[in-house]
Amino acid sequence: VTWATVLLAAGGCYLLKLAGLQVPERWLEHPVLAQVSALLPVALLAALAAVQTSRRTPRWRSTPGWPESAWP
Amino acid sequence: VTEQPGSWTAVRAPIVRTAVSVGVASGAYGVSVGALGVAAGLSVTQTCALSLLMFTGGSQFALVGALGGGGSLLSGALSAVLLGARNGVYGVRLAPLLRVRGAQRLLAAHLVIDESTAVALGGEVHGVRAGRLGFWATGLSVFVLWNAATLLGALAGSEVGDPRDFGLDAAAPAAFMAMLAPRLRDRPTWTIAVVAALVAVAVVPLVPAGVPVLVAALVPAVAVLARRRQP
Repeated sequence: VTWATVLLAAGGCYLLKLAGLQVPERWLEHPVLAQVSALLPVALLAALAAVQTSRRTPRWRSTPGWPESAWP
Repeated sequence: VTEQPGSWTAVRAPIVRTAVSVGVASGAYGVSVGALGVAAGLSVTQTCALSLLMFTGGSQFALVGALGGGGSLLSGALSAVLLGARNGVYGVRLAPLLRVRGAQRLLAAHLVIDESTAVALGGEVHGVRAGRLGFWATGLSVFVLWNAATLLGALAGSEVGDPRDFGLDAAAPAAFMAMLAPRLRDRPTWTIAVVAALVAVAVVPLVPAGVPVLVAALVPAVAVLARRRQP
């Protein structure tokens, strides 16, 4: 049962990663999406840096469920 | 985005350095996921299989937490997959940069994680080649070190401490900040960075792990739509 859970969840995570790469490039050619896509790196990098910085604050040490509760 | 072949060596070196340091930083958490996996009742093989096959940290911690806490296996698996949803968004943004087909795409998909996406987007500023190098170098560096660390943690068990005690965990956010800096060229980009960071941190206590970055990803969408509404 544990093996089945591990494999099922890992498969689900992989399919999500693959699904993102499968999206046709022309979707991002739409004017609105192209602008969003150009600005997305700024938002993603800022959010990742901010959440990961807050994750390492000693304050989280006593938080139940750390570290999964503080993942970006 | 323009590419300057003459300065390739100057571009390549910092990207490779970042890839390695981000890999080492993730290794600190890999040790924890290994130790927690065994503590939750997984065998060493199962714990290592999780890192090899799932290869997305937050989801692994969620699944291990559910297994260890005696929660339902199905809900543990579902929350692990939900936590991996952000990797799908990363893939959409990475696809036009990577342009991978066939077997290469299947391999690239496995390496789509926070770190590889961040360094790919950081490198992209210096051209397509630099962006691709950032993705592959970081993906492989994290993959090797994350899995080695998981094995170490699984074997050593609870004897290994908290990853934050090693001080290595600061390396990844520091690298992300360094890659963000060259993109902050004008007021709109600054605004988006600040709002995205504040929104992401603000929603951390309110939404499941893995969702804050998805919420932050909506910030540019809202900004673009708001700008278009203006006459």
